[in-house]
This record gives sequence, structure tokens and C-alpha cells, in this order.
Amino acid sequence: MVPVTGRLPSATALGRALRQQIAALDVAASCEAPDLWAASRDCSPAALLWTKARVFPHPPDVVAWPETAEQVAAVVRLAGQRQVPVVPIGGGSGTAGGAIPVRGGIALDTKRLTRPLRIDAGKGTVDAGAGTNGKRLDELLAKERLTLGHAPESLRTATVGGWLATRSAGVLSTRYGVLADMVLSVTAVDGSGEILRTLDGPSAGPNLLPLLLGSEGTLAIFTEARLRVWRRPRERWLRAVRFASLQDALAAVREVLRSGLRPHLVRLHDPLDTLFAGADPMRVPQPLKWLADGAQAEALRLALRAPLLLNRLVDALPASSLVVLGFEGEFEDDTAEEGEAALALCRKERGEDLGAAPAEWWLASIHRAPWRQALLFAAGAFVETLDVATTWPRAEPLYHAVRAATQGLALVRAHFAHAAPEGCALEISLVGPAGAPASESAEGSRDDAEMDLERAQEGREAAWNAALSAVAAEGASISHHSGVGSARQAFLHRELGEGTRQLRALKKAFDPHGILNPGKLLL
Amino acid sequence: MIPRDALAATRVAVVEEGEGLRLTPPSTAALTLAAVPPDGRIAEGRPAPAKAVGPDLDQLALGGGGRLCLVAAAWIRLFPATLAMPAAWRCSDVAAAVTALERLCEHRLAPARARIRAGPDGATVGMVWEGIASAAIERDRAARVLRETCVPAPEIPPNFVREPPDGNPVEVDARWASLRAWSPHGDLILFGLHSGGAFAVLSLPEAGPAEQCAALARAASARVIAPRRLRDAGPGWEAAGAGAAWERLVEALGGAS
Repeated sequence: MVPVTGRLPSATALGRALRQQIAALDVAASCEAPDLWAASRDCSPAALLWTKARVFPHPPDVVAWPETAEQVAAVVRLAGQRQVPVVPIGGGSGTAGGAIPVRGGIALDTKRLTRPLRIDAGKGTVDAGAGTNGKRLDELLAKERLTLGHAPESLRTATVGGWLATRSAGVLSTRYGVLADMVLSVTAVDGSGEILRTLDGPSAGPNLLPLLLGSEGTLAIFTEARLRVWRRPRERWLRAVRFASLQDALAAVREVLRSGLRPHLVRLHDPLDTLFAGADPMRVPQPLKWLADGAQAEALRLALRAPLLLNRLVDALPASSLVVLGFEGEFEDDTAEEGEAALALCRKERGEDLGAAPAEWWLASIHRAPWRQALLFAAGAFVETLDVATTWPRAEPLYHAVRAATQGLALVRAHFAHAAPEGCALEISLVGPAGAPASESAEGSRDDAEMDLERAQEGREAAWNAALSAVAAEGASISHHSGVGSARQAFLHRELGEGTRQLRALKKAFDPHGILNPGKLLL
Repeated sequence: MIPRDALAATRVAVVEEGEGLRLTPPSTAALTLAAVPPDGRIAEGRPAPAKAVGPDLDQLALGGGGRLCLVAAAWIRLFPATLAMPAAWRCSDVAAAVTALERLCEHRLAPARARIRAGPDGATVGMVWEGIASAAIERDRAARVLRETCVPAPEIPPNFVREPPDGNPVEVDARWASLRAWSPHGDLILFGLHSGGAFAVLSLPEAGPAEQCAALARAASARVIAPRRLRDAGPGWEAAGAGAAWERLVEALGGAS
């Protein structure tokens, strides 16, 4: 890590030379300090703590903004000749550090790869550039009464290319699938500068598309995708159901999925998360904001120093678990019919129907949650979020294993989401102390800021490593939809085993010069 | 874990062996695999409904014809056995019946399996839905979608969809347009239906030879995947601009080009 300077990163000689060469390709490029800073970070907790401490450990040498696949290919070929890294960056909303240029080089910003959308309502497809913003795409499809059915919490900032690179999933995945289920074909540039266009139809040999999806910029840079779109539903049915125990709630959700019903929303909150979700008497209108404000913030910092005590207090709370269920469709009767069938299965597991209001409240707040976490960082806490995946029989043991492993290191809250007939994702938030509030840190000395950062990163990494060790030991997958990035890399070998050799073979095939996002995916 | 050595041969092997399973496209039937590349070390994935841990390495074994990896074992998705909900309709011709199925897929009402057979007065399309709570709901909604273009045919026996194909069938992986283009020729059994197309077992009336059936399927731009002797290679990675990457991949894995 470079020393704390308090200043933005400055241009390197390599960066200035690359800028000239990239500009000669008719591609916009910059090594101005604000551009280098913006391309040096994402929304990972580690990067948020860097920002609070005014540290910029991984600036690129130059930022490039190609507008076409051909321009991307030209930049990649240049990078191959110069043997410098090329790191694609989209909206910067990743939470795993996947787009951070850990070895410098060219940050290839994909946000200008925004060719006009081609919507074919008859075929149910849309062709979108990799730089297309998620929210913008959703709005344009809505005008045609269509939907992609992809609504990650990062919808407002993420890009299509980022979704492809990380195998993204959204809150509607139970009905519409994860992004990999939505992609029909892609255009991408590999590490030798070749433009690849996967086929939208039957082909021979291994399927090229899923070998590129999720490669996090290490095998190819996505420039465009053809995605499946659906008629936008008119009606929605929502319910919150309370269960006496997590076990009952998990059994009910599993039965709903195994019955063949496909809700568009399924989220199961653990007891603490149930309080935050607002269905119990302790409901606070905006819990994260309330916690980060004034006197509560001071109390929060103090309380987080004793996470074991906090978690034990949580254990003493009523153990109810909230499930939010939703169905959507063309007709009100249809959604109600499916909803009632699901409620009947919930009642068999002693679920109590709380009506639509708590679910509506939950839905309205879901896209604000990531931004409110920033308030906790500003108040002097860190929030690490993991999304891990497993099969149904392993879901509850996994939850308890992660809680047991982390309860002495951070406050733990969790929910189960992305339910499928075979299993689900467990999404865990680990909240711990991260030094002074941002306002104090900004006015304090660099030494204090550096010490705060070091302590916060140590605490954060200890909680994170304990959680992922438990996940790996339980045989679950270390990432459901956020990717590996820098954050999970240390656990990738445990996940893939001998598969890491196959991964390296793919790297040799698609990136023979080893220039695409080096230092990620163990490559 | 269910050992399925035959999986290595082709992506369709799971479907061919899928008696008792709800038929799904083979690429999604396997939750994850244990694969053996030429170096002999077993690479085993972790079973989960979805993962974001890099590229989907299972794909190196599925559909590679054993050139890159062999499959040692697979985690197969299983579904609760349910009573299938059948229904049948009459359409003006086989192409109209294919279009009716495509419409159901657009409405997310794809049946687990369907059959279309030409008759003197048009075509009969039979379907079955599965799913403990969803089958009846989906069947009723399908009837609503189809009522403007098709006529209910309650006299068709429930096992219409399950009857084996006539003559010498071929199995294809096809888009809806290909299935429509083939449709004047005969009988279609469809499974793994999705919004883009389906796997289909095609057969000709009066037991026409499989070679003729395959030729007609190819003329309609469908890819023949069974029987093995007639299987189409289909467009490979070269067609995607990845021919050089394929050669490098084969070399890196020590496989057969």
C-alpha cells in the first residue's frame, strides 16, 4: 500500500505515454488525478474505508473510454504490445474489488459503450451496449411494456457489462433467473484483441458463453449483449408471513419452491434482520439511518466493540423470522391464485399472514439499503456483506456455522434470498467498529487516519475470513452473485480445487499475454 | 452423487437418460459436475443453485464430446414426482401448433413436454404440465392464452404426449422458426421448451428413414443431435471468432484437437 498522502493520485510517466498512444487510436483517455481516483475504487467495504482515510492504494496509470468493440480491441492490442494490464470498469458498484486495478495499467471504462438499444418485442430480445446503465435500461424497456426481470440492489449504478462480468443476480431471480439465464449472446474482446461474437442458437462443442460470463475481466471484455426480455407484468401480489422459527420459515420457502410455484420475490429474514425489516413491534422507520445519527452513532461504536455481547442479546430476542413473498402477472386473479397457494403451504409450517403492508414497506426500502450502509461507514462502522450459495439441506447449518464463526468479531444479521427449487443464497451482513466517524477523520491527522484504517481493515478481514472459512467448511459456494474479485480470492482454491488448473487453461486460451485484469481469480 | 459416465459424450446424454426426471435442457439438468481433464486430476464443483465464482467450468465437460474433459459424476437436479396435468387442442396446422407452444413460452407457461401430430383436419397438440401446486394453474392459464387460436380437444387420451415416436426419429436442438419450417413433414415431441426453441424428436409418417428425417431437419436449420451417426457438428468456436482460443485451450488442457 502506498503511503497516506491525502492527495489524489498523480500521473505516471507510463500513464502519460499510454494516454498519447491511446489518443492516437481515436479513443478518449486521461491521466488526470480525479479520473485516476475514480477508476481506482469500487463499492467494496475495503475501498469505502480507503476513501474515508483518504488513501488511494491502486490507481491505474491511465483511464480510457472506448465507444465501440473495435476501439476496445485496439486498446487491448496496444496493451498486449506494451505488456501493461487492462482492467475493465463499469459502474463501479461491485462489492468484491473485482474492478480495482491492483497492478496499475489501463483502466478501460466501459460506460461509453452505449450503442442505442435494439428492442425486438416480437422476439423478446434487447441488444444493449456493455456500458448501458441498469436503471436506464429498465426505464427504456418499461416504455415498451417490457422487463428484463433483473433488479439487483445496485440497479441505479451498475452497467450491463458489470452484470455479465460478475454473473449478477437480482431480487427477482426466483422468477426470472440470474443474469446468466437472461443472456442469449455477447460480443466481447479477448486478451489477444480478437472480437468474439457468441452464437444465439444451437452450436457445437462446449458452450462459449458461460465460459466467458463471470470471468470478471480476466478472459475478455464485454462490449454488448443480447438479453431476453419479457412482457412487463401489470399486477403484483405481496405478503409478509411471520414464522415462529427460522427452521419453520426455511421449510415453508422450500416447499413453495418445490411445489412448482415461482414467486417473483422471496426473502427470508433471520430474527435480527426481521427487526430491521420492520415487521415486529420494535420497528424503526429507517433503522440504518437512525443508527448512524448523533447519539445513536456513539452508542453504536461503543456497542460494536463487544460484538459477542451484542449477538447474545440478539439471541435473546423473539426468534421469529419474516418471509416476504410476491407474485406478479397479467391479471390480479392470477397473482392472487398463486399467492394463496403459497400461503397455504406457509400455514402448514405455522406461518402467520401479516398482510401486504409490511411487504410493501420492505419493497419500497430495498434499493435504498446499500446507500444507507454508507451512513454506517460515515458513523465509524464497517459493513461487510457476503452472498453465498448452497442447497436446501445445508442452508440452516450454514447459517448457524457462519454465526458461530463470526459472533465474536462482528454483529451478524442475515437473510436467505434467490430461492430456487434446489437451494438458495444466504446473504450475511457483518457490522463492526471502524474507528472515528468520517467527519472527525477528515479533520484529524494522517497518522490517526492511517491507524484507524489499519485497525478497521484488520477487524473487517478477521470477520470476513472467519465467515468464508465457515462457508468453505460447510461445502457451500463462496459467492452467489457478487463475484470473487480481490475479496474472495484467498478462498477460491478451496472452492474450485483442481478446477483452478482449468481456470488457468482458460486464461492461456483467451488471454495469452496475461494482460486482462491480472491479480484476480488467481490469474 | 449419481455416477453418469455417459454424460461426457454429449450435452444431450442427460436427457436421453432422463427417464423419471422432469425433462429439462441438459445444460441445466446438472447442478454441477466432477470432471476429469487429460491430466487425470478430478475437478469437482460445489452444488448450488447459482454461483459467481468465475467462469462456469462445468461447461468444459458438457458438450465437448470428451475432447477437453470426461465427466466422472454429476449432481443432477431432481424434482418431486407429480401427477402430470395433460391437455390437448386442435390447431389449423402443425405450424400453428408450434406457434401456440411458442406463445405459451412467451407467457412463461411452457409445458414439461408436448407433442404435435398432423391429422386430416389440421394438427393436434398435446401438452403436460408438472409441479405439485403449479401444474393445474399453468394448464388453466394456457387454455386462456390458446382459446383464440386453438380448440380444446378433450377426446385426446392423456397418454398422447407419452407415446413413443413413430418410425425412425431424429432428435434436434431447434429454434421455433426451424420447428415451424419442418412442421409440414410429420410428428414432433418437444421437451426442454424455452422462449427461443426446444429440443424435439421428429419423425416422419409411414416410418420414413432417419436420414430423410435428418435431411429435412437440416433444411429447416435445426441441429441434429441424435442418433449419434447422424449428429451434426454444428458451428463451433470458429464461428464466434474464437477458433484461435479453442486451439490454445485444447493445448493448455492437453486435450485432443
